[in-house]
Amino acid sequence: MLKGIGLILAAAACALWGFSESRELSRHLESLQSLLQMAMLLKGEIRWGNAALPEAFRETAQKLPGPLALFLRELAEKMEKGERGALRELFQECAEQNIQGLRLSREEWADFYGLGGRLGGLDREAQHRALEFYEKELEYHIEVFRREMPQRKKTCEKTGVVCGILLAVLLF
Amino acid sequence: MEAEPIQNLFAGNIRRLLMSTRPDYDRLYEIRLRAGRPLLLTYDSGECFLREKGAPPYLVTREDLKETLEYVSGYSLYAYEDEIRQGFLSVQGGHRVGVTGKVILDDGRIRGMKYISCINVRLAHPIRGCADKVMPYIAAGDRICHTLIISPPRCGKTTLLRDVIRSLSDGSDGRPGVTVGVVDERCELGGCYQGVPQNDLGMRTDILDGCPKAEGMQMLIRSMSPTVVAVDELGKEEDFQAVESVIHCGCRLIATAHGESLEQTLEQPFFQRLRRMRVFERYILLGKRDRAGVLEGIYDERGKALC
Repeated sequence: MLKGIGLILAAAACALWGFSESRELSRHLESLQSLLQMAMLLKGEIRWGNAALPEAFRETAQKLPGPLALFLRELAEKMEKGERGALRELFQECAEQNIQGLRLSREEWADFYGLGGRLGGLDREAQHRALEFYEKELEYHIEVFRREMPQRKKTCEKTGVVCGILLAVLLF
Repeated sequence: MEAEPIQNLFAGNIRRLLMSTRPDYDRLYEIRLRAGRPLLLTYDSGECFLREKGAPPYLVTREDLKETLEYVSGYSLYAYEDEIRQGFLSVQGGHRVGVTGKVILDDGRIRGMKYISCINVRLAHPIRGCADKVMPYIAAGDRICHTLIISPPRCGKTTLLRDVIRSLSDGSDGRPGVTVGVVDERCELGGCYQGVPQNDLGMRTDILDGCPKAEGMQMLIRSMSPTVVAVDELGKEEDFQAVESVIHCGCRLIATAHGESLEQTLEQPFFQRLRRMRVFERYILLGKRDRAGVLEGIYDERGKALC
């Protein structure tokens, strides 16, 4: 009896793990979409408001939820305080402190940090192009992800269930 | 004056030096950075180089200029295109950062600047109360006179105008405060930073920051119902019509103008026309003897000395 309960729990744990991984895929997509929203809002602040970067980051933070807002606010604060370092370094430092919880791949993190390196030039047009370029990178990642996601979610869920059954059989 | 906000404007090497040498910021007027040259501090009593004790003067590098400009502009020099065109940026605290370098032209118009070779940080030192001597001549009870403050360059007319605005706006000595509209074309009066005036211009003052005077005066009288309109450095032909509008709709005008003397200023065609119209009721002349802001005289509309 106990053994039976144990087997069911083990199988259920594996299945839940599969569903959890499936849920993480959805979170990954949400992370990419949040970053895209952030880039679009920043572009608007700079294009129409001619906002300096700290101001653009602050205004954008007000329109975003969660850790991205914290990241932008902290970055704006460091820039306004005149904290030493290139913008690229401050960008990465604040990202590491606030948004490591975002589900991004290594390539996507590299793209994100690359944005920090491209912002802060002399020309307003260069800021637009940097943000547009990042938007295009994100849109590409989102498109690929959306295409592959249904299949990957099914794979995760099925793998979880199958692993659960297999584990139950092995333990039996 | 707090040292940290000023120190944080500068590149790391200079910041460290300022922190260790601790200049007297209350008496310091300018901190001047020139590529390849010693860093210069200008006090009210004279100049000196920035250096550690026993060490040679600190030589500013191009990297220092680049880093300083990044901090001054919040890594966003692109957002200060208009300011760069005028040659300076306003920063928090009301200080002004002048910039020189190679100008970038676009169809004969200044578009920006590159190869920055000099940064001059001018520290703001508002002198609260410097208008107390002149206020009884400008304002008595409800009556405020149209006033022109005249002085040569760097003799304190903007500082005096600033305090006159504050005094009118806040009110004092039984005189009620009034709404003052300020057209701050060169961003010197309010020293606005992100829209917030860094200098105290009074509680009833509305500021149009960076706005051309002619348009600004019209905008203020249309929408802000000022009792007084204040502008700095009147004298362009296009300002004349705006001055007429201000006078004809019952606002009082307080302005400044460049000039060595009252006669020389009133000989300029712009002011000749205003004199014929008997616009200004008070002329305040400033000079510079041992210090800036010396009151040389106050005159009525006929040029008669009142003090």
